[in-house]
Amino acid sequence: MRKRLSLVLAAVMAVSLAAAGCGGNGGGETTTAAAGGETSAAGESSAAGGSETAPGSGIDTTGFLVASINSDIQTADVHKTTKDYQIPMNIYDCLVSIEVKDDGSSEIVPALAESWEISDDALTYTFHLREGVTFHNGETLTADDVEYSFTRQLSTDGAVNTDFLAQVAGASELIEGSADTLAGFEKIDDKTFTITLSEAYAGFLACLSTPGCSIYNAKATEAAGDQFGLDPSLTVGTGPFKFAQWTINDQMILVRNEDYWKGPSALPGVLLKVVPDTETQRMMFENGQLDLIDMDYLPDAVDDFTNRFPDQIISGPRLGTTYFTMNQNIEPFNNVDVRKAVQMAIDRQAILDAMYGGRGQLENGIFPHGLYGFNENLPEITYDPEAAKALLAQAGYPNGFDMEIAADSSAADAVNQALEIIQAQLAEIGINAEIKTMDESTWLATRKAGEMGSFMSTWTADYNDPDNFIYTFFGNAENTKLRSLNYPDTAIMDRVQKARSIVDPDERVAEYRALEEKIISEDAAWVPMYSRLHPFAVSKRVQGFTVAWNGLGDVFFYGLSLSE
Amino acid sequence: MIKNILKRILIAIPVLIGVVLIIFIMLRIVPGDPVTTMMGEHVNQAVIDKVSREMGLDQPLYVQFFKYVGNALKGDFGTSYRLNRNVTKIILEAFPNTVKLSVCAAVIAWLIGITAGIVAAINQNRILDRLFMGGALAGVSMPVFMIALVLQYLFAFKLKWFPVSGYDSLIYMVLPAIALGWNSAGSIARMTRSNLVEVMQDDYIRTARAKGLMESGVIIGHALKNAMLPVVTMMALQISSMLSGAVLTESVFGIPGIGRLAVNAIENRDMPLLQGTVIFTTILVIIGNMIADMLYSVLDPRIREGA
Repeated sequence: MRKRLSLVLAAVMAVSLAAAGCGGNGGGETTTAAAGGETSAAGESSAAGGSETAPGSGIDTTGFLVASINSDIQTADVHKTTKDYQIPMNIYDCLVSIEVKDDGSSEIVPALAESWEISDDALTYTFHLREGVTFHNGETLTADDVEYSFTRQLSTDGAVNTDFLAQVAGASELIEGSADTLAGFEKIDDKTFTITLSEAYAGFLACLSTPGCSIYNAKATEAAGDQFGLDPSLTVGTGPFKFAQWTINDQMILVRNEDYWKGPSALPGVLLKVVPDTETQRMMFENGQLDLIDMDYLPDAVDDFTNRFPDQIISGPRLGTTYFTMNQNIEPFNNVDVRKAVQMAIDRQAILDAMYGGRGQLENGIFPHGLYGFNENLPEITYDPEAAKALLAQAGYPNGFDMEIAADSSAADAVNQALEIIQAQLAEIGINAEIKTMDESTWLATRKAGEMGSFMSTWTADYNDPDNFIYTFFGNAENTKLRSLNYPDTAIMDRVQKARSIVDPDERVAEYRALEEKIISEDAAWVPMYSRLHPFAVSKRVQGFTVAWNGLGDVFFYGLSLSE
Repeated sequence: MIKNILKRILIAIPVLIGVVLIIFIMLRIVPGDPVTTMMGEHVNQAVIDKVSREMGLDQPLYVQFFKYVGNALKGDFGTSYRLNRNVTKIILEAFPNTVKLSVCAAVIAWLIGITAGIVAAINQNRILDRLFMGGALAGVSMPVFMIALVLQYLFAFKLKWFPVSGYDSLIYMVLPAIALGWNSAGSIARMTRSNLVEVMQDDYIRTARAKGLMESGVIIGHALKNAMLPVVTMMALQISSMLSGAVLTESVFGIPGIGRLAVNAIENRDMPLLQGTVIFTTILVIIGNMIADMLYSVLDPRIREGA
């Protein structure tokens, strides 16, 4: 018995010493006997964890920009995600891209397509591909790659970005599976092809500029199968960076593409750290462990950072409108005077100041500042609780009424705190609003069923075109129900639908502005709140940082450099 | 002995089935649609319906359950909704990191816990005893995430002795291991002390002293052996508390282990991944308990013979 006891104790000591040794010298020896689990796998991993520069990868990350992301992306295959664009934006290119000029207006500029012509009936687009563009695997870009990409975008299992190409002739057959090829695509030669639309759609070029319409290499993507977008070595594009490594829950590494058609990036690469805890991100930035941080992750720190690192906070507009809804299927929101009263009862500037330090602009419609077609002459919605009270009385509710506001528990704290301010402001005119907090899934399900009383959310642009906003909310009965708006005017919604095929730019903008004024200023279909600035914090060594044109919140690393 | 182990394994089977059933049902009675959560705002309903069909979520619950169990028996725990990868593979990749963290934490817990316990017992009711037991009490009472946050703020952010977060080299392991180990160190210290104090009053200790052994010889050669018996078993049992603590520690310090996977899976309503991590940790806890039982019977012949 004694012998055995001594043996056990000795074993425990040995394990302790071995593991303590590993902790001391940074070597790879870890014994796992104590935990009673797998042994071989653990040994390998700790060996990898011990290396100094680039753990587990063998990539020398010296001189790389270090940025953070709060959770892993789902996939780098843009055909299968509508939100994880941080990696795709930097490893792929689109046919065209969008540049925002200093005056805030935007312009579609050539990217992989060097030039294009649009037929007189606006149905046929002829594209000429840039010469000498190669993918990361060395293949040369041809029209076949474009055809392959668009066909896959519409037909692959789990395809989610089908809307952007829905106007192309034959797209719906491909989505439904009744066709294998995209009828509207015709290859002329290796560098030239045409795309025919089923009906004219002026937003089409803007659609092609979204990361969702990135161009893949036919051969590499086909060979990668379902590992495309998951296995970095198989995920190739034409972009300024190559996807070099992805360790789940840890980090992603991008390495410069030396053959990029615009010339190689000044940055040798980017290390994207997955840091779930926002407070940790803040400490890492302050301690110099991070070069770039999206301040959306830590809104509470913006004021503090702006004071302490004034030169290191860089903001830009985000093409996004925050809106507060009123469900017209629920009494008394079917009454336009009630809706107008709510519009006037909410002090939007006070909320913007309290929650975001005033960093943003009030909006009076659907299209936010910076969006193509933005109308600065919309009637201004003023904060006037007295007039709001009078309107309520006129509508037959002199003592107010009860209503429900749904809060999504996964939304940013600032959003749900803003709801409490709105609740208090509505109480001033006698409206008794109850805030119901739900988890994200429940919140979405209720909203989509068209049964949510009121909520506040922000819509940011997929592409810089008013259609992306107005059609999403007021394009047809289904869309307006999915947002729990239940806007009833079908004649107006038909006009929104028809506006998609107006070709003349001036006529189109005029129609969109008229519709916007009707829906928001006259019908008070929602309370337009504000569009916020998007602040980033950058370390002192980062040069050339600008906030991207769109509302996606992701960063183009091309054009950045480090000063050291 | 072998009969005993076999019996334990047989008992583990219904436990596992129960856990699978409970987690499966719990994840599905909460309202909301995982596909919608997964895909976000900018996807139209037709696409969501199509993807739901492709994932088999339109089938009746019992069909989904039996399919799941059938595949699980073959070692296939499905594909993570969010990460699009095989669940078993994701877990096995993350597991070594959790093991590394837990082993480092365990070592710290044992070394500090046992040493503190012995020192406290020898100096019973004196200042060192009070000091060490105070620290142990703090360790037992403070939640792991709080220790983690305090350590991170103090030693990484303010003093800059360690990196704030990450997983690049072993220096990154120090704070997480202390955060995770402190709790266990506290319990081990308290248990070591109380056992040692008790044993020191036994007759055979008096005998040992009487035959002229030095006090250190008495403690190490005689008292410690018997005093450590329950402590050793407790260490094995602490595997489960290490695992739950790892969930929090890994999230605070950004370590890509099993705990982070579970938290991510909950946030994203990633049912296959969450089921996988729960089943995997259940197996670990069962194994931990089995080791504890076996150690006990090895150490204490009364249990072995009585069984």
